[in-house]
Amino acid sequence: MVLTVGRPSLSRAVMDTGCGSAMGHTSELHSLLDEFRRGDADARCRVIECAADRLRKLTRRMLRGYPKVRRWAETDDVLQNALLRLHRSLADLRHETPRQFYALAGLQIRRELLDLAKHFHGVQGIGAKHHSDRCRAAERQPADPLEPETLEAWARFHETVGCLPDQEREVVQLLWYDGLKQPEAAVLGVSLATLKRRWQAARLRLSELLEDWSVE
Amino acid sequence: MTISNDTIADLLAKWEEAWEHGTDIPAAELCAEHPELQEAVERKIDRLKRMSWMVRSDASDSDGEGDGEDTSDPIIGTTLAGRYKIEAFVAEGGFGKVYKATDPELQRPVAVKVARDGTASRQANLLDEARRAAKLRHPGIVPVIDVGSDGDRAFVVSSFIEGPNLAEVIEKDRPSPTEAARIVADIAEALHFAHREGFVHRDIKPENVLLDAERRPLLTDFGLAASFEEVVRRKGLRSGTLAYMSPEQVAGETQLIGPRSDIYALGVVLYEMLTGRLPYQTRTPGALREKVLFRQPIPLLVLNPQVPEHLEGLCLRCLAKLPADRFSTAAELATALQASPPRRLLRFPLRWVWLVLLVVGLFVTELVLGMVLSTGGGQGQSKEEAAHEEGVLVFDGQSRIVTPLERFAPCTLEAWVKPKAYPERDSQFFIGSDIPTKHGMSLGA
Repeated sequence: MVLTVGRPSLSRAVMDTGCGSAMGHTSELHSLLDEFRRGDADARCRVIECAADRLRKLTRRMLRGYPKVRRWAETDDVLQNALLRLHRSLADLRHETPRQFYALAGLQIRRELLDLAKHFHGVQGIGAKHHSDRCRAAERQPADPLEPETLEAWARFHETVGCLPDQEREVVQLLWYDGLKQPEAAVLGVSLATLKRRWQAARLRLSELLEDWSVE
Repeated sequence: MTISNDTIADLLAKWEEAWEHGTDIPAAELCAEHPELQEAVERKIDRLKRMSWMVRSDASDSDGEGDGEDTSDPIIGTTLAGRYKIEAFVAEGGFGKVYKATDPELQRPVAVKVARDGTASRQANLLDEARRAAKLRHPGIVPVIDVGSDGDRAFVVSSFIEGPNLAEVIEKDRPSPTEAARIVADIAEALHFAHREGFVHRDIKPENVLLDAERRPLLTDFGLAASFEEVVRRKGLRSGTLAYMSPEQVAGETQLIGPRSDIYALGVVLYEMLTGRLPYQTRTPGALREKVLFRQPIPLLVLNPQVPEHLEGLCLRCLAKLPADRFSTAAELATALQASPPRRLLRFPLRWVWLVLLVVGLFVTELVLGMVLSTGGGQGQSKEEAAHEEGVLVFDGQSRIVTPLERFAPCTLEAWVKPKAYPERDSQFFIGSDIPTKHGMSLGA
């Protein structure tokens, strides 16, 4: 299997599979997953690339206040390594249902984002050495008061998601980390109304936890 | 979960559904049947608003906000049609995406509008419309410089105007009534020019009005309007386009769409500038459609007592349901807006008022007595007045009966009938198109 992670060609490849809208086409993914389970190496690669593309998008969002870091991240080995790890962890799957696949993909994406945030933000992190970027991140007027603006805040956000009750965390992983649309998240096997309620409860709980943290 | 928690969750779900359609239902309204829950619901709505960044679309996941660099948009950094170097994303409208670009040949910044995906025939139509619009040259209209296609995507190039659009100005620094009247009058003059050249804009809204450094308005996007169905399909309620559509556009009465449709939209813009809100605010496109077609807007003075009465009158005339009840031309609207407001009566002391009334009364009495004596007691009542009273149907020559023959046929049957008492000139039957055209038939009375 040839991995083309970390390069623009991956985005093009993902677009070509029809999964470019961040796993937006669940029906297509379902058929890919079926082929994946039957051992089709190409299907497996394409499904995993969809998850990798989502990781790339979320990384870019997380790093948008750090333009220098973002540029490095796009070419740096760090993001490539994260993408490779994601590939490896998902490639080991064999007979999972879509629900299990999405749950695991969401979990892995969250872990990689957390690692990336810590990597860039840590004392020896690349972002830590560039105060101009960090100042800029802090000066930006956030559109929403609780949206993380710094890598430290993003790391806290990803950790906080891990502390949510199981049902709420699963919804956040599907909708936020995997990027599924609400009707597509039917893989959970619950009604749309229940899904909406859990999604709402998760955001309310997260807002309380993040607010407590920002007050501290 | 307790009963009250269930109820709160239901109320929040209702709020969130409306919020997704661009409406923020106040907690008080939401909790009309459960006032005891209002405080808790209000607090949670506030929390959900603060977490709204988690429900943004993919497009905003990858936007380049903050550094002006959007690496996710593949068109940025490319050169369109071998000439226009796309530098940055500016906005998204009904036509498609707008980018700032550089024209290396003329060495100046330009705005490039790249059309959404569509059928080949639609792209060709858009290009035809844009080519026609390129002939419009007026100081109040952003000039179209070039049109073309790159691959299967049509694009339109126009001058790049440094400055905010009217929507941003309304939101951040709403103009005073005097300035609002001046801005709308300027737009109306530009519109009148375009109308005379045979153009109808069909998508007048604050986003399509740019303001230069002197806050002079410039109209953009001629010939790029989307249909009602297209706007609904793209959730146009959020972008606001639906709210500016005239009743004839909303009803799909294409044969009635004309310059007066633009005048209606201009009335909505004026209403928004004067009151800070749209004439009709609803939660769904269907409800908006109904209000545009059948309801009257809230009087402007109720929303903003500072609005001069004559300005309210002009605005409401623009918003008339029937095109015939609006200003007949945009120039007429501009003139009315530029005219000095009628002077208010000076406040005299009461005793002076009585004195003036007494003098006028005596004068009128003398005049009437003189006329009665000279004509022999009113037998000279004119036939003209009788004609008014006798007629079962009295047409005033201004109102029209418009009968669309077929929904999409550009033809209507109109009758303009004047009573005999009126001078013969201008009395006519008119059969023909309601859209400006060379064809039609009229029968002089």
